[in-house]
Amino acid sequence: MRVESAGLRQDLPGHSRKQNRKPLRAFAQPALAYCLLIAGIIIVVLPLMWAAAASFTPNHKVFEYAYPFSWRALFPVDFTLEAYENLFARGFGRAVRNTFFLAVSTVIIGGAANALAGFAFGRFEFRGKNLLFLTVVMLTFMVPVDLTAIPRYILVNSFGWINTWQGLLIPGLANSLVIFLFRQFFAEIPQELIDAARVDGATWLRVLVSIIMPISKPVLVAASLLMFIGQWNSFFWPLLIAPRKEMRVVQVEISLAIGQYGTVWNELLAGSMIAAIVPILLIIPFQRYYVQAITGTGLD
Amino acid sequence: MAVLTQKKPTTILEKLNDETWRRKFLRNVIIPWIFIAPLLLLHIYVVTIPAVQGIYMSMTDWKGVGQNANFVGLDNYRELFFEDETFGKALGNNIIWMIFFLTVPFILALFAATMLSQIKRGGMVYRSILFIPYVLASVVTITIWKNLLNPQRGVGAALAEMGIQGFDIAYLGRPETALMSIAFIDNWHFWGFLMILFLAAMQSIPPVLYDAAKIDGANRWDEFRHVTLPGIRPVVLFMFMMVAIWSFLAFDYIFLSTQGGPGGASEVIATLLYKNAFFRFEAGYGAAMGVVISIFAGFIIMIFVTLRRRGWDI
Repeated sequence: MRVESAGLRQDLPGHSRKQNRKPLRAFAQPALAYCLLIAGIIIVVLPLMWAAAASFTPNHKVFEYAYPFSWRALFPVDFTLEAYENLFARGFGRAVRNTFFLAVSTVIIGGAANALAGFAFGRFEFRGKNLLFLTVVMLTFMVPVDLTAIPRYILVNSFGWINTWQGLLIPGLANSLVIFLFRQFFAEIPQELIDAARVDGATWLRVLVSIIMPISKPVLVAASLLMFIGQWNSFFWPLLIAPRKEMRVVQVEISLAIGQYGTVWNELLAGSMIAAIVPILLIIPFQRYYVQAITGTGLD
Repeated sequence: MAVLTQKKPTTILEKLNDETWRRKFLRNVIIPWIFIAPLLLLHIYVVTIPAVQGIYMSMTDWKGVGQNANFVGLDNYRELFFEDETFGKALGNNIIWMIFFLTVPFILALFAATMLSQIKRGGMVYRSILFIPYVLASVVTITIWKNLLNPQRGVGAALAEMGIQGFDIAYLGRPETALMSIAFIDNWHFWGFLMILFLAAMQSIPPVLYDAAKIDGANRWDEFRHVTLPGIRPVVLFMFMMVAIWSFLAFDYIFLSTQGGPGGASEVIATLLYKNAFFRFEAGYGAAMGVVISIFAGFIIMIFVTLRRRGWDI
């Protein structure tokens, strides 16, 4: 932007060297930028296009145009829904439902717990607050899950929670990044707004529900996105905790198919496309919030 | 409201009878803790108890099943560092992984963010597209790239067919290329995240600074070095720390693509830990690896904090 504004003005020849270079530079740089970005986009988009096309192709033709390569590999020229039909006939729909249920529950229950804690950290003064924030939020944010994965598995196992919803759900509820996000947002709300309500005799819970929540739409969207996509994509914990067929989530279903001998590729890719399309559809309209979320959480 | 002249309550009974004190107590102690309680309970259950148990387990020879766990002190750690060659190899791979992720995605992201910040038209579209891989699940990314890197039907095979030989190798199946190929796939998914962070930081730099640099006769490189880079430095350094920590946790991409193979060529600590805990019935030994990873993470955080104290302004 800054560079282009200089380039619109055609300088007369015979000026100093520096001024002469400006128009060329202003033209060449965005052009170079576009070229490199297009190269980047090819590397990102072509694999996805191939996978999407292959998922709509009969299984015996999945690799037909990829080798030798032709443009047909990127478009479903032999269009069929066979892969999707077979996939759902074998119970993939249940995995999708399970994952949705899990992700929505995480957003609602985890969102409430994280928002309450974020509010307390952002707005209350109480003894031990900083220590609590450091240990509960910061340490979990930074310290590896590996340390706790095995003992957590054993703990969940000792409760008899293997292959149960609570075993799947509860360990994913507390989310340091989301607490961070809420804290940051709540801390920036003007005190006057809260004081006014408090003077009118509103309780803290009431302040939270009827004053703060309505103005918190951006932070709620961002936090929900983070939690929903995080849970939708999580695979390791569900694989460990709920391997039973009826409880499998999308990622587990796909990951178990990857390792199988004689993989049906178009079905595997169809499953992957379903797993991919949900976060993509969420991220495109709400990208702004998501970016705010990951950039606004105390990183700067 | 209490009368102004009333003296401060001292004993517990007086305190409980004093309304001002009760209100204060409710407001400064009870309510905050009610707000924190759900999170705290979750945290104790998900992190605190397992962490303490993990540290204890790492000092036993527990198999992961049954009741007999004997306390063995630091034996597991001695074995890890002085006897177990696979652990040394895995640790080395983690360090290679860290070096890769502290350079490649950072350079790509800085570069792309700089380019994107110059573009007026369609910037949002480019940004969205480049960011898409980041929201894809590891399972999805691996499924796609396992095909593309396949020597018989992937990109290499297509190139060979066109006459460009030498790329149709089993990237994931050869010891020399396995780790770097997985790093490439993981990076395909990851770098957009850094790019978005850097771009947001760049856009928050006041344009005045660029104008000033231009008046001083700065070229693009000077601008980048003296305006852009200092402006985004906090984010870059913070991400350096996070990526360094995450490098020791690298798991899902490796587990899904090679499981650490061939022959341990792409083994990292986390995959080794998983195998020990769930396949080899060496839970105590696996837990010791978890503790080691945590110590590394703590060490990285300490370096970061120390540098900050020394006035590095990070």
